[in-house]
Amino acid sequence: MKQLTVGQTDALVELLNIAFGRAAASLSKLTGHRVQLEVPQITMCPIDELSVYLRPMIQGEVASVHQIFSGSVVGDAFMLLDGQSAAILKELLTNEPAMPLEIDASAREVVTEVGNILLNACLGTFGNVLKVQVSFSVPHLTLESLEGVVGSLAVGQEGLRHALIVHAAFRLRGSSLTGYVVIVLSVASIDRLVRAVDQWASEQT
Amino acid sequence: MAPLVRSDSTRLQTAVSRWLSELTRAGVFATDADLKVVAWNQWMEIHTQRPAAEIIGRPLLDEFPELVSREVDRRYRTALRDGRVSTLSHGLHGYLLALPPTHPDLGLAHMPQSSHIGPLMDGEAIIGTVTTIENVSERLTSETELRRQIEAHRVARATAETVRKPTLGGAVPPGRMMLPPR
Repeated sequence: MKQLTVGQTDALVELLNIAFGRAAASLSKLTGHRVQLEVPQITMCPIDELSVYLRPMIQGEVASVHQIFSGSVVGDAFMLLDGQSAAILKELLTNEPAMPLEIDASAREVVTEVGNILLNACLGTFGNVLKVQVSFSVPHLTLESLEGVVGSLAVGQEGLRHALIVHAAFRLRGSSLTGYVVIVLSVASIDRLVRAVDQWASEQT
Repeated sequence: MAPLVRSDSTRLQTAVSRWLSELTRAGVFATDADLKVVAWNQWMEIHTQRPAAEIIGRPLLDEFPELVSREVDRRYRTALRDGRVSTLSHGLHGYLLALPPTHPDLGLAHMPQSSHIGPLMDGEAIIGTVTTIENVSERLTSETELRRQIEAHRVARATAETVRKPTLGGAVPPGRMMLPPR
């Protein structure tokens, strides 16, 4: 299994915190509330272990915002929130009470936009570090089990793939909730990313 | 399925273009890399009251300066620079373009919209932007009605709970016997 060194983990957290800072600034401007976003933890695992890793942290149905990215680096990016956290996030951002997500298209759309902002910030940062242009698909939200989300990743994909799991801690209006950004890449792309992060870290010192 | 021959492919492209231009129930417009309008579908003509012939070739941000004042122009610039697709939800933006409302009963000054802004790609090159706009008025009407029903149900349940609880003297206050109007 691909493992990150402490130095690589620290560098990735620093990079992602820059990306999350940009996403938080966008959300703060949009909503008029101070939104803080932090990366308390990242980890990496093969995709067949993804649901085992996430299951203790995400209960019940998952609101998943999915974007495919392509270019010289190809993969899938997700923002995952449990259904209740997604509804709370919508309420906090819009001041409007959320209904169950299954019947509240407006709430689903707000969560999709939050995911879009966060994923764009993360992938944009990775694109900058790798010095490659990354194209994105239109974000798409689904409500399904964690196993369903992970299962959809395995369909039609060849080769071993790993997931970079980024804990995303939202703080706004005195509340806090946690979501997860999951970036799925081939082993070769992960190696390329890690080398680029190493290079970036060495340039910072 | 047999592969499309060139003439089939051209006919298909023409049919798709016609569908996007005339039949789709969403606003679709495209710009070139300088943000000059290059395509403007019938939905856009109807709801902006601007014919395609008048707006094609014009700079989008000159025609709709509030895209700049509301900082939506950034979404166009990131689409052109980084190839990013942006979702603009009704919940966080209200609308993309200030268009006349189609459902005055909602009490909104502008048509509520959800939209996407993305790059137009030619292979690896970004050659422009494409925007889609959905009028979400009907959806908002349904959601408002659903909220009203959920609230009425909540009040009815709360009242029923109160009626079931015995008061100190064992008597139920007469006013609590009433169920709320549906």
